Amino acid sequence: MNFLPSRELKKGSAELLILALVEDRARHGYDIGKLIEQRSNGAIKFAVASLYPLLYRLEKRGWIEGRWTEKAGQRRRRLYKLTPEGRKVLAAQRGGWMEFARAISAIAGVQR
Amino acid sequence: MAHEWRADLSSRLASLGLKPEREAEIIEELSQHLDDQVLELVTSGAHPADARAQALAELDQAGVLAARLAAIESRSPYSLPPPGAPSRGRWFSDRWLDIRQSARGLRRTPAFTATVVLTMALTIGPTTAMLSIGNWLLWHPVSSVPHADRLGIAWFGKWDDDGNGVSPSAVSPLNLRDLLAASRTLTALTGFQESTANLALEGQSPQRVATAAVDAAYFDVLNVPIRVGRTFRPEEDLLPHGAHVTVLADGAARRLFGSVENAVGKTVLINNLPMAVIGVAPPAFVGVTPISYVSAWYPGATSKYLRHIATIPDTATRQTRTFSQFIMTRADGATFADVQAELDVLAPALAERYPDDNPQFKTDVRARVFPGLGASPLSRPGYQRMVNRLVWIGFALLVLGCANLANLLASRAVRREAEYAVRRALGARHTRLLQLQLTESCLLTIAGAAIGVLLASVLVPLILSLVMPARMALTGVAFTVPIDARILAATLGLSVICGLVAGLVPVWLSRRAELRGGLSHGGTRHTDGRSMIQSGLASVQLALSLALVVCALLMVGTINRLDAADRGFDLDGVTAHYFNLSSEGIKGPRATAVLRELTDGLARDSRVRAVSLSFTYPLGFGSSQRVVPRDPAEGASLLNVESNYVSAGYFSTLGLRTISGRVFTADETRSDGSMDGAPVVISAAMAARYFGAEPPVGQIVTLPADAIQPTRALRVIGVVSDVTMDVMDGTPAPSMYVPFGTAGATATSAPILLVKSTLSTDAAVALVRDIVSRIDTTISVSGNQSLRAQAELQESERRAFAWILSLLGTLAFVLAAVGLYGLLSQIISQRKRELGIRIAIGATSPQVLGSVLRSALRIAIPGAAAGVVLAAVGASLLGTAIWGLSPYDPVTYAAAIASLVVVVLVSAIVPARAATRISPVEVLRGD
Repeated sequence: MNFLPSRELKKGSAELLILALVEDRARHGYDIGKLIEQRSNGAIKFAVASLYPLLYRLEKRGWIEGRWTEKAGQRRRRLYKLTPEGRKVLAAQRGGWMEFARAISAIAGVQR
Repeated sequence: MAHEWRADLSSRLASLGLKPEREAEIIEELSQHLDDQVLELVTSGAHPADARAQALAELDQAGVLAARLAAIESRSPYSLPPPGAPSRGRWFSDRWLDIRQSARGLRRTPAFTATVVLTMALTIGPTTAMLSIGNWLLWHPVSSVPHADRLGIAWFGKWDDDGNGVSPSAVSPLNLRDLLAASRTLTALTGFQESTANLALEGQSPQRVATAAVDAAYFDVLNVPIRVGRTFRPEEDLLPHGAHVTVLADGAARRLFGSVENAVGKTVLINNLPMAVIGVAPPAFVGVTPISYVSAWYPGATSKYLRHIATIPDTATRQTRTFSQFIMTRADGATFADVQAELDVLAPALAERYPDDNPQFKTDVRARVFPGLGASPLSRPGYQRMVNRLVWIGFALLVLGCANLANLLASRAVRREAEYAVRRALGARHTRLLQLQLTESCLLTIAGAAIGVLLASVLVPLILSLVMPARMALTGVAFTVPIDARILAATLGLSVICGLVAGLVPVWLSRRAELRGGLSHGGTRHTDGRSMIQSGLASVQLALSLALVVCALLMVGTINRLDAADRGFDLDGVTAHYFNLSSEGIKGPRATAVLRELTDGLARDSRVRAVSLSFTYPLGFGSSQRVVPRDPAEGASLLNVESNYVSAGYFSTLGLRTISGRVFTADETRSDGSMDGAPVVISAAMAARYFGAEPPVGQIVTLPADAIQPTRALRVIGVVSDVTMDVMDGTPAPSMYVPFGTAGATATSAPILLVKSTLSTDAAVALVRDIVSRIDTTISVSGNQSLRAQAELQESERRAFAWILSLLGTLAFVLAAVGLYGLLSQIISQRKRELGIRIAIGATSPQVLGSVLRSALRIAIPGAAAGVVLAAVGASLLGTAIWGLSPYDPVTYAAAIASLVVVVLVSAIVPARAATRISPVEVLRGD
């Protein structure tokens, strides 16, 4: 059975996912959305109405930084990359989620 | 392939009102996204038009794009700091964020929020009200008096052995001058005497009001800034004749002249004598005591003029004196004890120096010093007792409220363990959680305090009208007692501390708790220590509630017994009316004629059954007479008996039964002959005390000689039933009744008129006033009340405490029930698994109910036991307020415990029924 994460779980993990995806290289919004869908095997999908407000919020907090890039014959694209502050937040959230996941699985595992 | 998405996107962003450049950026970025999406769809085989339509549809499926962008793009800096986010370093905006988050959380739990806020309000409000009243009654300072701590009252007179009664003795200004000259501890003695008088304008009916004769320096010593006009000059207060001038109170000036400015320069009639208005006092000033409510002040030297004393010598000697009470100003560095000690020496020294003029100081007249202004010195012990009771009740309510508050907040904190665990797991710092909890507690406190202050402002006049109805009835003025800021701060501070501790301690303790533990047990773990504390708090609440209810029942029982007690005279259908003819210049034969016309006029009315005149009456002041004992074995000691000058109708008006002989005829009481040889009617108690087994009728009662009169022999003509003046004392005092006419001016100057009729009180008062006005329009009638109402007024303090305790006891039970309900609900939640398993293996509903009720009893029984002990302590504090039953009356205690049991059962029934509905399947599935 495929596990479909609840809306609450998605809400709680969305920022972590985005920060993680732009950790290594700058990406644009469509790319970020597609990567999340692909790497979760379709379990997590972000609609445009969810993804871009989230990106703008992260940018406003100073955790990611957007810049326009231009290629000849194409529209401008806005690429997002992680800022140093964003790196710290990512590390903190990553640690928290790992501990949370361990605790959940520990409980579920004991009582099986 | 690129499609122009601008129009589609613009329409979706139009409501945001973005700056053009920002809107352009968003449109460009979203356009690129849509292009990529369409490309992907077309690549996978979709028609371009379909692909575009699909992309647009996905763009705004729920129409939420604009809403979400609005939250981001608006200039609100307030967004929740997510877990792990470092502080942005903006203290005020972060606090505002905390406030909004806390308020949101409290709105989501309206029942809890309302309960906590109300608990706090009900704790702060009544406690603040009662302590403010107590403080005001005892220590009300006259407004704007500098160095008020140096002021007090010096009262000269012959003091009773217990210090609770005094026969005032006035001191002449010449004596005062000498006292002050010799004193090192006093800098001033400013005389004042508060009394009542008739006040009217020419042609108007007079009204009986409170007035005060004062020294010229009175307003200056009290630093009272006169509102309009001026105060007295020293030359206006020189004995033997003072100036005919008066300063009116603000209320009196407005009532008589419409405005304070109109009053100055006008003439008023005080006791039917013209007095020029020279000034108006400020609105806040009502006299030396908080309940004076003086309407007019006049110079002390004018007192004799206002009492219509015909002959006033033209020179003042040491015998010419006005005041017995003085506002004393002690010198810097001297204590009130120093002042007392000094006066005890200086006053007798005056007697040594002027023995002929001051013999009283050598024998039994002394000055007593009372620190501070405020309540009248003789009233202070009574007020102190009342205040002590109010303080104890307030304290009990404060403890009870704080216990309830602590229990409510602690229960909530336990339920939020899981939430704290998750937040910390997601990176929320411990200090952050503490800040949030602190903010929540502060919001609750502010809301509770605001309502508490409103409640206090409503309760103060209500409680005051209960504990002091007599004075309010007399003046017809509502007192305004300010809520004491220090008391409010203290009750608020205690409640806040309690709330903060109860709310923050669980958060503080959770900082070391493991995440696993918090998540696995969140909301359900119930450590032994915490359980005991919460159960203990619930027991404390029950104990205090029980104590309050027991005290309330004891007071209610006292009132019922007092109402039922036989006083020996009729209370219903009888009204009392007071005149002061001498103060209106009506004396001698004129006074006698007026009174005869009045009683005859009333007797002609068919609705009037009986009328009487008397010097006093059972609910009035006491009047005693010494008689010579018949039995030489009693030695030379004179016997003290209650005595009264009465008219013939007195006995039938009050319903006194004639036991033997007869009562007075009308002629006997109207005769103004000497008392020697006059008939006398005695009470059964006096007959037994004075004559023993001998029939009293025809025997002689001998009054001893005194400075004015020789020995008098009175002939007993009848014996009537006893009157109990002090119901609580129980034993009727021996009493004798002497014909009204033999008293002369003593009786006619200020008689009491008693009217027995079929009329209501208001109708009887109207009838009396109508007849009086037809006789003489300048005579005022005051103190008009039914005897029943007066008797209840005398017990007003007890009634007030019965009422207050009943209300607070009920309130306490409600608070305790709420606390117990919350605690039991929490216990059941924690025992859900256990109860589910028990139900699964066959436990019936009654067995589950029983289990829950046993939990309730484990809390209630210690509470009841402690409550009984507290109730006994509280009853002993009530002391003499309880009458007719023991402070440890078993029936009363049993009734209160039965009420407690009902409260416990009511609190437990809902959680108990919820426990019986636990589904074992759900409980086990949750494992």
